[in-house]
Amino acid sequence: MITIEWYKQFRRPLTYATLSIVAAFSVILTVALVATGSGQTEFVGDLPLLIVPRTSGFSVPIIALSSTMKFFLPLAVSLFAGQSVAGDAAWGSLRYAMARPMSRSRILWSKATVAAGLSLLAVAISVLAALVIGGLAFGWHPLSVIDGSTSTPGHPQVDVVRVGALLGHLGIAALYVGAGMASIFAVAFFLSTTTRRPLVAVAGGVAVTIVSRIFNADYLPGVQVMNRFMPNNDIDLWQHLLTRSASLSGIPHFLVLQAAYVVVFMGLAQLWFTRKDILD
Amino acid sequence: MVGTPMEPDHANPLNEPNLPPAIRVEQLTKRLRNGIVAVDGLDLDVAQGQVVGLVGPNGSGKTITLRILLGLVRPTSGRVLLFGHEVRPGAEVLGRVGALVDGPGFVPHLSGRRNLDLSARQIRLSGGSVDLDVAVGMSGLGQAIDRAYSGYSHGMRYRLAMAQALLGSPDLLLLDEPTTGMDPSQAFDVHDAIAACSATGTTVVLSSHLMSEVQRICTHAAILRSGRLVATGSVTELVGTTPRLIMEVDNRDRAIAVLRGLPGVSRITATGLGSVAVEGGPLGPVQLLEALDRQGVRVSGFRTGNFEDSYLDLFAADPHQAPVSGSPEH
Repeated sequence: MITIEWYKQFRRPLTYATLSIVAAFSVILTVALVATGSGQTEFVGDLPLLIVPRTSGFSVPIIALSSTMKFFLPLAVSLFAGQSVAGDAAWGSLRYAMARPMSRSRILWSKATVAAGLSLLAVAISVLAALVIGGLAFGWHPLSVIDGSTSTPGHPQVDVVRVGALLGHLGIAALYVGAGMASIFAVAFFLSTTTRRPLVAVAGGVAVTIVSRIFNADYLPGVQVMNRFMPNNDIDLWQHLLTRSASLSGIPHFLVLQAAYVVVFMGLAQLWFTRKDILD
Repeated sequence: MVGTPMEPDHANPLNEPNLPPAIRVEQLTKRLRNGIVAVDGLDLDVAQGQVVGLVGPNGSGKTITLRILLGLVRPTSGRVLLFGHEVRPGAEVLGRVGALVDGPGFVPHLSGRRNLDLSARQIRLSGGSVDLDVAVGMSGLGQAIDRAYSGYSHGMRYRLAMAQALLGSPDLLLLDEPTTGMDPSQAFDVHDAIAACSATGTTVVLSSHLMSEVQRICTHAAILRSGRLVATGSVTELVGTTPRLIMEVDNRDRAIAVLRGLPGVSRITATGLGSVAVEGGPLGPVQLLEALDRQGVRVSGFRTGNFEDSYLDLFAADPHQAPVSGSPEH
């Protein structure tokens, strides 16, 4: 059943387009960096951390992931999860699949597996394409990093991060961002079981991302309490890996929060899908 | 017979005692979430081998009944058995059913062949066997079978949907308005396919707006209105066993008065503004016409009745539940 679902979803213009745009982002980013001066520095996220992009191709995946994780990857994940069930319903092919002797749970989880696979593929492509293109442009060298928390004005403290460490950091970053998409995926996937209009479900996933951004205590200190339950706000914690005083204490909370969203919304999807009347 | 639901045994003249009915619907009710009762205490038996037409105006509960038969919609109360097994979502007995509900539904960016292949894979997953090449041949789509489905015409989509419905060599075929929007020659192809299936013993239930279609290809019919069964029986019974004449007249009331005075005329119905239907009696058409002529009623048109007229009669009896205006065929 997973194979069947894979055929339905993968050979699809929307899938190609989404994955291609994710990859194309790295190319655009690299071109932009080539156009800047050789000593140009870039901040990483909101941290007091600067990297010198042209010292190493590893700068491209770091900058790419930092930008795409906030909106672009959530959008891609919302697309894959949101159209998964609703898109099939809109084609009319879902009712024919469901009129066969096969449990609704099996159909649902086959769809979830394929949509999750495509979502992780988007994250992987975002990192790998950037790693390849960045490396081709600037070489796979150690990366120069300036840690603002230990530097004093006029005397920048330049660290050089080795290739092996960079690969490790990137691997962890990709896994972390992948895990951080789980909440958005679960919400969009649940909405997908409730409608035959895929865009409604996709918009739901995007809305979660936006609401999460709004209730962000980094920008709006008054919403400290809600910030703890917003699914996308701590997605940038992996950037601390590049600093000397890595503060990774928020990671367990973030992962538990993702798991909670998954349990609640995938549970709702299961409840709804196995009980609903298929009228479309 | 019209208007009186028949006893189950009588409704199933082909039923042999050891064969469970292909379909048994018992006291089926479906209340939708908006409060509308789409199916209201429906009882229906379909014996194996019958070709049954489900007829009724839009909103009479035909499509939702088919969806319940496929396990897509759960009944509010009552139950549905296929070949003696109760239907639930994903029930095993659905492996013996092929369906076309609410039009074709395929993945647009894949070819017709790939779409059929995906259905075939799913049938194999649940233990069925399929010959994909036979199905491809049956679709009659030729070279087009390898083109993307999104480029298919309306008729091609229905052909593919029929091929999909027949994929697993089903024992029961459920077809929801299988010839909607087709030209007559395409519709005849579908009728041929249904006849071929029926010849191999497949039970067929099809819903239709086209009474002539039901009369042409069905052995039995069930007439629904507002989710209730209005009449059921063989098509011959529903059309009427006695000769039935429909006459277009210039003065309907006078024509009815004249006909009432004739001996042996059993049933007179005003079927339209200027027409009247007469049933039964020993009098042949010529005598009826002469009688009307003598009383000064001019008859401008004259034909023998068909199933469509019986159907329209049923609805004419209730002014609040008029059927869809006429039939789309005319």
